[in-house]
Amino acid sequence: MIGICKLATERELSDFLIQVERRAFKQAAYAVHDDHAALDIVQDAMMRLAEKYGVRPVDEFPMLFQRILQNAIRDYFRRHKVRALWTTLLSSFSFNKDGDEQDPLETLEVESDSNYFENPARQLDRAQTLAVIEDAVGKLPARQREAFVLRYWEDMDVAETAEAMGCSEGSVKTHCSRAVHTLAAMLKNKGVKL
Amino acid sequence: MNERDIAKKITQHLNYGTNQLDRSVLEDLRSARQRALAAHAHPQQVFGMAVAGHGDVHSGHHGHGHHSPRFWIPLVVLLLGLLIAYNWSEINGDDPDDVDATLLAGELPINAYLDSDFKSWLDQSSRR
Repeated sequence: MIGICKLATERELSDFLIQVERRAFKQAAYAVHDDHAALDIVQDAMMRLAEKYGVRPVDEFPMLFQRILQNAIRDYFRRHKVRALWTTLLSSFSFNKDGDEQDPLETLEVESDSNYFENPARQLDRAQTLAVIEDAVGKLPARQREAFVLRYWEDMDVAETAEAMGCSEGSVKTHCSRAVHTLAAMLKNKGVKL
Repeated sequence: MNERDIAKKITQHLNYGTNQLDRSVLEDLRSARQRALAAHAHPQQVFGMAVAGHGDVHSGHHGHGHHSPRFWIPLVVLLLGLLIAYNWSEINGDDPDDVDATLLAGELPINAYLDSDFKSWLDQSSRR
C-alpha cells in the first residue's frame, strides 16, 4: 500500500525554522561553548535541511533537522581535533630566535563580546537560576546532554530520540536518567531549588 | 519530584533562556534562515552568490564563501593540472625546429636519403 504524504511548502519550511532556530542555537552553544561556532553550526544545519530535504513532508523536519544538527556538532569537534593536532605539530617546530620569554597576557586576544567584560547591569538582569542551569547543561557529557535535549526539550519520544542519536532505546533511557540525576545534583550543590 | 518533573522544570528555564538571546544573535539566525530558504528556492543562484562573496551570513571560519576550501581547492588542482599538461607537451612534443636542426647537423644516416625500393620498382616496370 502506498501512502500519500504532503510535501512541505516554502512557507512551512520557514515556519519550522523559525520555531526551532533559537533552541538549535542554544543546543549548539551548550555543546561547543562558543556562540560564533554555534551560529555557524546552525546555519550549516539550516542550509543542509533546505537544500537536501526541503521538499520532504513537514512531519519529517524535526527528526531530519535534529540529525543534521547533531552531525554538524560532531563535525565541529572533528575539525577542532584535527586543527588542534596540526597546531601542536607545527608549534613543536617553531622556536623563539631571541630566546625572549613572551608574556601570554600580551598576546591574549579578547573577543569584543566576551562575557568577561559584560555590562554589570546586564549581568544583574540575567536570571541567576538560568545561568546556573545553562552551565550545568553545558557540563553534561555529550551523549547525556544530547539525549536530555532531544527527549525533554525537543519533546521527542524515546524511539525518535534513539533514531536521531543513532542508538538503542535502552541507551536513550539510560542517558536521560543519568542526565536528569546529574543535573539535579549539580543544581542542588549550587543551591538552586527547582 | 520524579525524573520527568525535574526535566520539565529545567526545560522551562531553558525556554526562558531562548527568549533572552542577544539582538545580534537573533539577527544572525534570521539571516541564516533567509539564506537557507533562498537555497531551497534557487539553489544555483545561492551558490553563485556564495562564490561572489555576497552569500555569507556569518563570517565563520568554515562558511560557504570564496574563502571556503570547497571553492579554492578544485581551482588550485585545475591550475596545477593545466601547468603539468603544458610542461608535458613541451618535453615530449615533436618540435619541427628540432628535426630541422638534426638535418642540418648531418646526423641522419645515409639510408634516410635513399629510396631502396625505387630501383626494384623500376626493374619490375621495365620487364613489363
